Amino acid sequence: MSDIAIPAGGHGHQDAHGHPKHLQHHFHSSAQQFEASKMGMWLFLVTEILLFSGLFLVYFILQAKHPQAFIEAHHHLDRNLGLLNTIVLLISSFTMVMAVQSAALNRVKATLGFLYTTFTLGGVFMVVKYFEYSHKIHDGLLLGNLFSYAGAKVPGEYLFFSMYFMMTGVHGIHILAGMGVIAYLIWRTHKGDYSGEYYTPIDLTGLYWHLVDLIWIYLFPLLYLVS
Amino acid sequence: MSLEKQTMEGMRHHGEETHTHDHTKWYIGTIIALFLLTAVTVLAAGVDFGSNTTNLIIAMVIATVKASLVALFFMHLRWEKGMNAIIFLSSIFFVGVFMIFTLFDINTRAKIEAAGPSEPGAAAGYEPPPLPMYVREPQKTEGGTTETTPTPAGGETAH
Repeated sequence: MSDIAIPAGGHGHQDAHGHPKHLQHHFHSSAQQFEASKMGMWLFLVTEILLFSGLFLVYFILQAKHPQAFIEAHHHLDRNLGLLNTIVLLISSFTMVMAVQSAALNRVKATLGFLYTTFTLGGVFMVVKYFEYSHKIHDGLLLGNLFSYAGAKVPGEYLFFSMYFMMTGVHGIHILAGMGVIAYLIWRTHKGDYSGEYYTPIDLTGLYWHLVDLIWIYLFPLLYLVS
Repeated sequence: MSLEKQTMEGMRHHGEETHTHDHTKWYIGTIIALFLLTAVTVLAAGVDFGSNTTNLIIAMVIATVKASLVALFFMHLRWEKGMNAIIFLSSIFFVGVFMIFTLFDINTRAKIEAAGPSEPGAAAGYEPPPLPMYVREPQKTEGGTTETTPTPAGGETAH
């Protein structure tokens, strides 16, 4: 047999040579497990990019075919609220990356502080979105055949609002999901489950959160700054 | 080499990786750059660069610079060995294939749809059929009826 064969009782179960609690048996080391988890997260992010790319493509096609409708319709969006949300998300990405670094450096208090801040900023983003959505629902600036805004000037404005609600809606669901995961991280951090040796979930959530921020970086000019 | 020994070496290696670097300076630099580029995005939207498409391309280029900053620094690609970057860039490549091929298709359909497409440049002058103002007319409030009538041109929205 090769030297991979594990004697009865298993390696690493004696305290002197014990592997950390988080290390699963099919990995050689914490580093390998961390890298493998990270690669898995990146593969997931690839699927997310492909998911959004479909929406972006439809946007580009409709915008190219009906530029006037898009210009006219985008005036109904509040550019300042879009800018506010952009800044909120950028700051939340910064606090998220600081949370990851604090976790890596074993600074539990700082980690919690940054996670709470990130969660709150995600909440601010969604509250702003709520006000934007309710304003549009009130005016009948809705997607597809729900569009019933009486002051429509250019044919096809509903196309813009279809894209607006689909893109910001799918993105908003991602923010909500991210907030849920961050809440879970806060709970686990309070329990003391993470340390400088093991903080993989925080790191991976950080990657996800940055991707959601990255997508908003494209959504902001496409939806709010049509010119 | 025994598995146990590898495990211990791996852990030591991991320890070295995670405990050495404080990137706070890089992160602050990144967020400041992102704020500045956001300002550039807003300002660029107010300038007419010639056409709708040019403005769109400029906005997308700025957004891509911002996205690169996020990926390089916040997502740590700058400090990593290449594999995750390759995975990420491969997705961008396939998005590129997806978009460019589809746009080729969409942009050449006009040649078929337009009447007399034989001469070059016919596609450029092609006007898409007009869209309706509404997919269906807004509901009439009088009499409390909820009846809605689809506009005759409603079928145009299919493509």
